[in-house]
Amino acid sequence: MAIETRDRRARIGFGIANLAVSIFVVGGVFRFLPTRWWVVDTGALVVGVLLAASGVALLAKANVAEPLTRVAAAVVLVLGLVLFTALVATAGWISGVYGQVGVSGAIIFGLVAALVLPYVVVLPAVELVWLGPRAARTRDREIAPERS
Amino acid sequence: MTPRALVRLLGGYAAFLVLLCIGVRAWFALSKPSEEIVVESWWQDGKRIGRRLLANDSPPMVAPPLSASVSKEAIVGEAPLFLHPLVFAMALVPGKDGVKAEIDGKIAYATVDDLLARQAYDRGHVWVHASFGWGVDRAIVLHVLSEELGVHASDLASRGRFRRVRFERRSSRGPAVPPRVSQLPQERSAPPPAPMQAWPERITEANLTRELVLDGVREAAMHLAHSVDDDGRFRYLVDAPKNQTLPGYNWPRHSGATFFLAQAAFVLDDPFVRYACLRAASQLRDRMMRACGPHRCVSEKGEIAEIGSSALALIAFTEIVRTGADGAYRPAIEELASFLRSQQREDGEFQHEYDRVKQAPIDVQYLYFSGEATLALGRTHRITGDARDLDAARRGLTRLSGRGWSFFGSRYYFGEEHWTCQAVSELWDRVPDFEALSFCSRWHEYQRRLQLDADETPFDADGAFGLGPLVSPRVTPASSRGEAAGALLDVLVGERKAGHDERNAELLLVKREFERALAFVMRHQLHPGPTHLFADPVAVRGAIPGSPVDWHLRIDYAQHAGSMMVRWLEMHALTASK
Repeated sequence: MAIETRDRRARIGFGIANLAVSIFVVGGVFRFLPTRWWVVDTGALVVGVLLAASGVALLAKANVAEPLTRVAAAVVLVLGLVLFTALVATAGWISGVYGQVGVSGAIIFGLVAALVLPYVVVLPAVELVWLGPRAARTRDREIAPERS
Repeated sequence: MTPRALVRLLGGYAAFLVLLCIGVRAWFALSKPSEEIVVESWWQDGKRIGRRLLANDSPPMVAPPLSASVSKEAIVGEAPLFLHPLVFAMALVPGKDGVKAEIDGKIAYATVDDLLARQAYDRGHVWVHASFGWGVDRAIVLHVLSEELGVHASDLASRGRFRRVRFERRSSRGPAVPPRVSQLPQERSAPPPAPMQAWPERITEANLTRELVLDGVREAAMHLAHSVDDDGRFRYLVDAPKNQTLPGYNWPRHSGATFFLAQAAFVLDDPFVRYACLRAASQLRDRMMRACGPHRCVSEKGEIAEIGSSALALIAFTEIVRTGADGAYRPAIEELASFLRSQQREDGEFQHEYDRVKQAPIDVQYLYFSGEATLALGRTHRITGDARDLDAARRGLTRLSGRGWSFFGSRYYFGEEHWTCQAVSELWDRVPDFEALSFCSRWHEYQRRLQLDADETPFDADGAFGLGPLVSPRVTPASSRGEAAGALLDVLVGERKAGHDERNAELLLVKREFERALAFVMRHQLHPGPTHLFADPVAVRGAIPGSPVDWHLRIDYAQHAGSMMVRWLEMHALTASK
């Protein structure tokens, strides 16, 4: 299914959401994290750029909107799952290893994990479901001339 | 439900939320009273003995007793207040708001002074320890008001009408006749309190001077020195308004306070402070050092010894020897250093407990101890010249700043590293560790993000390190971070003098962090504080409170603050000598 044939409200909604999350991620990392670390900074830049590009493309109903959103959602989902796993695992580990200091650290890491989950795991997963499998898109393209 | 209906529903809900927020804010915001009312209270020995309300500067009907201190608090705002326990605790701004109660046509006020004198702020809910309290204690507020109104607190709670009241202190003056002489331990020939130096109306980073900070050291040191008894024990925890010693003792903090007294005795060249320091130190060396297997450590009589007491005692003893107060502590230094080295693992980490019965270390880690042990061994090497001490300190620092704090997110979350930064500085001239310096820099960068600006909270918290606008800022975190900033600054200034200019920009940031924290701490030092609220103002003069509203005085509050001031004096001398 081409982007122009998809539900207009969903397209605009996902476009706005992607732009908002892009700003949220880049702003959160570069404005609120106290120090710079290339691992997190690079990840935030990748997520920010991909979601911003996807958001603009969806709102503009551009031809590349669908493949771009698919790539963006897939990359963000993978990075989001890695981040979520790292945060949850660290919360468990730090509370076990560092005792008194670690308990408050575990709470903070747990809260951060809960905070990022909707934006970098749930949202891209829902977008991928909305876009459907790539095979269906190819099949649609093949039968499209018959429709017209 | 159709999508259009859902959108309309959500839109309506959003509009409702906006209106609700505006309405709630307007309802609970302070409104200016129609006429100015001043609550005048008369205080004696920290207790309120009289009160009257002055409206529009009406002439006083009755003069206060000559022996009473008089304070005037003006009502500058009023707002609704719900007494329900669920919301009451956070309904008042600590140190600024009080409560007005009305019942059967009678009105009473629980003013800020009343609530400070009863230590009601930040006592509503206590988490783990009294230092971690938040919210106003509802029972105390009701007690204060019911006493004034002559009704039972439960009756007042059920039938009374309450308002939040913002107070502004207008003036306070001491008694017209001199108070009774303070009951300080005269048998040790304690000198009479020195005349109070005039301090600026508000201490800021801009008006810190050597004379001012030196006076802060003197006040803190005299306060601690007065609290050391003949056996060398401190008054560990004191309720300042009542001048009452509270239960509990902590030997690592005893050791830390002894360290500061040694620093202060040297800086001030004061025999009274030095004698108090040596009494406290001899308590450690002669009564608290016990067999820990083949070594000797500072421990209570129990089965388990922890290394924090030994590490901080070692820091104190090295300062006593370094400053020439008493060279006889050298053997104790060697014994404690030997114990600490025996507690170190191959990877540099320290095992924080020792089982005195099984004669074996216990491999557990607590807050602070590894940093304290590392610093202690680094200082010990200057006294003993023993390469094993230096190597142990070097390995401890490498561990603390390397693999000891390495996990996903370790750049964004830190423990308490003020001892670690001091160890970096201590070792820099002998075994400079650039990784550890970077770690300390990152920790300070993180701390600077937590340092509060003047307009971020309703409190006088510029320079403090806080967790948000609702919790009154603690003083000791500012002191300990200031000590650590001074240590980092020491390294950065040294590097600049050596011609390495790469960190000059950071130097200015750390200096500002340090001086803002110092100004915050000195603003809250009891110099002399609101003396009318203290049972014995002389006994608490120079002390450092837990926070602007927590007037429990613990010995480590004065220690960290005093050591920070000494650091600043050292930095001032160093930068002045360029």
